[in-house]
Amino acid sequence: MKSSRFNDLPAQNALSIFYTAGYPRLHDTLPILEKLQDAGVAMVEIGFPFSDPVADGPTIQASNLRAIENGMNLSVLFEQLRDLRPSITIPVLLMGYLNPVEQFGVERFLQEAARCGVDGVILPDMPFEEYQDRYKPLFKGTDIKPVFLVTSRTDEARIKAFDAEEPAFLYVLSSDSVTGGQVAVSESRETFFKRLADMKLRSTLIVGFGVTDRASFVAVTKHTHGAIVGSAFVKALAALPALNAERSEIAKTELIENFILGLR
Amino acid sequence: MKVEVSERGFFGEFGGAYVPEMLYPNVKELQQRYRAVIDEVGFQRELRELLHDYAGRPTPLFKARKLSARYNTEILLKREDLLHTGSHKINNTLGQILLAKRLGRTRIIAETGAGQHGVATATVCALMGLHCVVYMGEVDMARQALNVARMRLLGAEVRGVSSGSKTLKDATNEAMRDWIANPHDTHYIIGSVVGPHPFPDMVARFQSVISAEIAQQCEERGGRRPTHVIACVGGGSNAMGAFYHFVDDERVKLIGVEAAGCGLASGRSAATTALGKSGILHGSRTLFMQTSDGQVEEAHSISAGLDYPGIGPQHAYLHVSGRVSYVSVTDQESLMGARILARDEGIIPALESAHAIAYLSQAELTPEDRVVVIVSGRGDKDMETYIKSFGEGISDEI
Repeated sequence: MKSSRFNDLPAQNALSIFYTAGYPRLHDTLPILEKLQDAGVAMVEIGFPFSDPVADGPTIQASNLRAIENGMNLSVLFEQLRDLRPSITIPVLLMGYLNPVEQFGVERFLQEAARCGVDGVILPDMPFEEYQDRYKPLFKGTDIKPVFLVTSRTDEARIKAFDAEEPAFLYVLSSDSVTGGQVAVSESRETFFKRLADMKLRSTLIVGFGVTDRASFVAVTKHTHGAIVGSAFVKALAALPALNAERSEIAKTELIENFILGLR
Repeated sequence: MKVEVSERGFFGEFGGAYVPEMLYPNVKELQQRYRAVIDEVGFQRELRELLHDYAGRPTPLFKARKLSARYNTEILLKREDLLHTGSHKINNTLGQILLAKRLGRTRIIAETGAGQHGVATATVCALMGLHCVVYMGEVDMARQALNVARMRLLGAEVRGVSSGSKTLKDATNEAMRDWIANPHDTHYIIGSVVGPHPFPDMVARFQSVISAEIAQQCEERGGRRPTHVIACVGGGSNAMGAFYHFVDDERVKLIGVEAAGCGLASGRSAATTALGKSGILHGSRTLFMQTSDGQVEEAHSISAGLDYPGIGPQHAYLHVSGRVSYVSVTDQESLMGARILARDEGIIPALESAHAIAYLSQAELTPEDRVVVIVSGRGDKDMETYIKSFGEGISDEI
């Protein structure tokens, strides 16, 4: 088995970006990924769209619907990601809801993802018990790693059970909310992050949901290994003007560079 | 056969609890406690009293003579439309509000399509003094304005949902998002036999009073069990309640009537068993209408309460096993059903219930049959649609 690209994640302040495949335009998926890598992002989550994303706020809901209208689906996505490697060297994960994956076929989905060089998969509505009973052998048949979500209400035994499954990382939720909220880093939140850090888990801890800017990034990564910025980036992409192809590429590069710089 | 839920919340291959981790503690707490709470003697007594004194149970089982003559069989109408708030929905909301109180929740959220479940939730929240927020698609708010006004008068906050198709499925998404954001003080009163385990089983238990009464009322009329039980199916709560105690008696034919909308092949339909596929929606594995990519399709029915792309997991199971026959009638046929019931029996049904009535004209029935049809709700909320649809012809002969 080849060594995992997750081993190369920086031990501190790993910046990860989430965006929706096929958004704002169908063929933006790979160019955005390349520009994110160039801008120094440590890891990327690419969302594949679903019509009814219950864990997402208005920004990602809207990007999902637009992506579907643009013609994005899993077949198109895998076609776009076929030549991901070797030019992309950072870890890439796919994130989305279970139903499109089930209709595509879970095994086929994992195999196609592995063939493209995808490293991990995040399926927020896949129950952990279902993973263990039903999907784990399929994951094990590829090099694709799962990711499990941890909230401040997830009990310790359950967190340890997640950790024992050797996930790509533990996706630590910064708040009780859907994506796109504002993280209010409070004392209790910090206690939660510290409690996780003190558990000395094997898994990397990456915080997400409501991380929008430098201040929130710094605050949530004090006791963890990194954070994911999603809705704020998708919102920034929405501001891309409709330009001709060449100018649009330049504008996109500038926008992404500036956005990442703003987080550093 | 029986419709028994497994420990993980499955009925055959359908059901389960496909929720993100944010909802896991809430759903787990309900899974662990719902049976103990609702089986407890004090709970049962309180619920029975409220159903009797407040909601108006038992509801009559009325022998519809002209309807019987029209279809040359014996037709008995289960009058859920006579309940307080105008539909069967209050059977469930009374049960769940008592549960929420015992779990220490102070804030209630609900989704609603036609507004009947929203009104039933707002009503019990007023009764119990709990804060109530109802999510309703903006399309539904426009076509069910009367129910919006009722909810507001009852003190509930009605939040319009402008995402997706702006109907019931989107209102359900938004209610789940609210629950994710407010897990500590909030209980989500789901209005149908849908959602993650234990909701389908719990709602079915609260609605099962319908079939318990039917069985008893048939007993009182010479002991002959019904040969047929017919109910409309959106998510399927009144149907599940009506079928519940008859599922294990194979002699009773159970028929669920879905909304064909403009017709099965029209692309504007809500007939899930005919058009749906297995997948995961709103927390459970069930049948729903979706594209080959697994995107949920928008349903259409003239009836806002049937305008849902899926059915509950028990119905998916009962369909696949063949125990229940699922059929469908169109918007136009349901309008005729409503007019027939109004003229023959002096009962103006909700458009949802009119689907069950409309099916009688296609059913193969004999004079020896005893057919129970569920009138799940009353038609006041649908008067605007009736006026629009019948126009000048509202007083025409059938």
